[in-house]
Amino acid sequence: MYKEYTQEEFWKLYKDLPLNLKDTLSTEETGNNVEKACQRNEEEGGFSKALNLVGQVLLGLLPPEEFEKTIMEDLSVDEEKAKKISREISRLVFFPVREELSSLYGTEKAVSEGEEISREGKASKDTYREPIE
Amino acid sequence: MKDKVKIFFLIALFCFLFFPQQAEGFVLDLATKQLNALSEVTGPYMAAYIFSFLIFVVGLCALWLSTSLLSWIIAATPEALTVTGGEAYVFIQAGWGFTVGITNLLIVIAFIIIAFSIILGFSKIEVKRALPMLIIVALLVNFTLLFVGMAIDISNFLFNAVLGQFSPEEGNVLFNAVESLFNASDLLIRSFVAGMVARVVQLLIPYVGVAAQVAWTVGFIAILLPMMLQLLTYGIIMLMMSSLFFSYFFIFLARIFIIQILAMLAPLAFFCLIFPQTKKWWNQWLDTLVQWLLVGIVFIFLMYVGLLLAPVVTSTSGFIKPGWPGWMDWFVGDLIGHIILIAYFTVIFFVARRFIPAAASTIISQATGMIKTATPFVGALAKGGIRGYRRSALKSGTEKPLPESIEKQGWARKPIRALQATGRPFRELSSWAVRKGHHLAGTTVEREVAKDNEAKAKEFEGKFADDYKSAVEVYSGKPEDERTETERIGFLQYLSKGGGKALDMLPAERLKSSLDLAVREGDSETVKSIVSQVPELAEGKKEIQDLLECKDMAGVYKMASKSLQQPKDIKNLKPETLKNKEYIKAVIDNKDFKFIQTVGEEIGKEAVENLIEGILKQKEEGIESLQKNIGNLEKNNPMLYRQIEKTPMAQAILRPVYNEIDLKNINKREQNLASRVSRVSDKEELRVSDKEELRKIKEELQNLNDRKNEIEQERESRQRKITQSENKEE
Repeated sequence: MYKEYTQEEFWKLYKDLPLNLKDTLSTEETGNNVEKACQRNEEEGGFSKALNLVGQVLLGLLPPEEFEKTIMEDLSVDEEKAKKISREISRLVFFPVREELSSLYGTEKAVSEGEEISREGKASKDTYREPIE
Repeated sequence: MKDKVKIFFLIALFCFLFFPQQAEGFVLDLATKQLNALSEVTGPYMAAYIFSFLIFVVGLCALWLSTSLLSWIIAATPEALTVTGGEAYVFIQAGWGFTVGITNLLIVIAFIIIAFSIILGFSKIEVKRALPMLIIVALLVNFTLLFVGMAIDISNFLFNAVLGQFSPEEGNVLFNAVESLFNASDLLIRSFVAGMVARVVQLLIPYVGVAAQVAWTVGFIAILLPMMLQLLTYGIIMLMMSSLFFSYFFIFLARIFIIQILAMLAPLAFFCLIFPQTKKWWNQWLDTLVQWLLVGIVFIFLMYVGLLLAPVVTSTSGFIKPGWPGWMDWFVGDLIGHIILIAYFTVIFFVARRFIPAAASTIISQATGMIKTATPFVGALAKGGIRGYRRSALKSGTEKPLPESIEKQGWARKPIRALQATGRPFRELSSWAVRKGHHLAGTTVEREVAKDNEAKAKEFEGKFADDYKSAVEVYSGKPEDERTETERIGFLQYLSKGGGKALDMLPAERLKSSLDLAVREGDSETVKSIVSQVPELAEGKKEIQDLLECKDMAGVYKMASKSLQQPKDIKNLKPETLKNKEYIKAVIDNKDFKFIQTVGEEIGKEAVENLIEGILKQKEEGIESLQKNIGNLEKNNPMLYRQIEKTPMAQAILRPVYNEIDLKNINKREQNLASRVSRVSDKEELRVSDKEELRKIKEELQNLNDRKNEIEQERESRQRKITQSENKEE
């Protein structure tokens, strides 16, 4: 779901990220790709929420396999549309950094216990799969 | 009786000639003892007197020899520097013939390799491209000596043109310039020899010698000391002048041989033109040839200008009356002109060094070493002196301010100013000569001063690296007025590399005075780099703002924010600078999101909070102006606006700003949806698809409304926090 995090929380998560993920988080290109995906599926109004979810995935807070489901819930769209949007975003945004995402969700512990925001989905193996179009 | 007298005198003569020791108590013994006693005093200063004469003689011989050699090489250069005729032709032809043979062989091999690589199909594109060049080179290589000969002829033509232009109608320009030294030497040698002969004769006469010794001792300051000083000064000046002339001679001599060797290597150099990989050697050869051809012309031109300057300078120096004792008049009248001439030659030396070949630079380095060894203060003339000259050239046109006590007394100001003005022609002339010399060498005084400063900064960097604290401690150990201008600006440049934090370590007064110095010298680069780190230094200083071409402080902050490129620049900024409202405004108006990201990474969230406040001005203007201020951001820095809108990271760290952008977009979207609703609703009969569209719009409007509420809550929460912190502060 749509998450709001403070600057401290963000910097704490950000500082341990691989360089490529940091770049993806801080480039305008990411927003352009999310916007394109929303526009193609006639969901312009959902851009800011979709961008927030992409940020969560890149920060290690939302596992990529849950991205589609969360899109469906947060943007209030049907399953078909959520699938289309998430596929497009995955192809344009997540695929170039798939290795970093694999290591982030596969082996790394996100943040120490007891913190308000923690990285979820500590899967023991690489669960990220690039959608086949 | 007569015989008895004869016998007595014979015995007396025998005793006088052959007696082993004269009897004590002899009437002349007193004079001998007095002479011995006096020699304790007169011995050392006579030794110094003779030593100064020896220095003088060595200097004279060296000057004569160096002037003769230089005159000879200048006269011989046009004839000696040839590759197509003259005496050198035979050995050049032999050497060149050998290299042509090797080059032809290499061309054949290269041709075969290219041909095979093309036939076998594993050639690279570059190899194919090399083929036309190979053919051209194969044709040209046999004419290389002719080409080099033509270049030499052009150089010789220019060389002769300079010689013809500046040669006097009578005599030799070199000998004319130092003629007064030779003339003075003649008089000095005669005086010295006459004085010595007189002394020796006086010493031989009993009691007269004693009286003369006493007279010499009493008149030491009035007679011997001026003479000694004269001999030493002339000697040292002639040694310095001869060192410079010897160096010039070596450069002119080396030039002939080096150009001839380059001519012999010409075929190989042409061969290097064929392949891209070897082209760098061709360039090297060509550069060296052109430089060595040019160096002679530039040297001869600058040198002749200097030599012709000699009489002008000597006559100008006659106006200088520094109020020395009368017996020092010879120094003012004769020698200042020559000292200025030496300074001019030294300037040429170092100016020409910037663009002459490396080998000539080495010769100059050796010569500098020789000069330094010859006399301890030549080092100052050669390096410090040239800096001084450059700096004086920088200051020409600006009168030195009078002391405050004199400025206050109106009646004294005028005559002192008039007195100051008497030195102006000399200053202007020397400034013109220095500037002209730099200009001819393709550089400027300002550029060279900047290089000196930069070299000094590097020296500090080499000594202290990034240990700015120790550097400041050591630097501050010496009073400011004992530091040279180069040191002061160099140190400032060094500190500016450590940013505002490093500059802050220097006592404020010193920082300001050094910055003022850089401003006075028009060193805009240094001033810019300092003000970029500490923009507050330009506060109220119009001359700094003018130098940086900024109309006001807003412009200075804008320049300062634009100058920051590296993350380390941001890290080294003073905390006060990062809180400065003008600076924050300049950053918001001019920098992109990358800068804000670096601020967050390097400084921390407080600095980012300041930037958020700088954009939204919620503290100052409240919630009502948020949308207006976000509109200003869109207008003033559309790139940053777009980046915040589209970047996940900006959404996180600039949350309140992002919310306002989102709110703006939501409002637009709502208007868009409202017009769609009215368009569909206006239809007389709604179809299923229309109903479906209306349902979707309604859903979206609901979502947008939810988001608006969220933003509203976040706005209020932020406002509460602001109020709380303000209350705390109060």
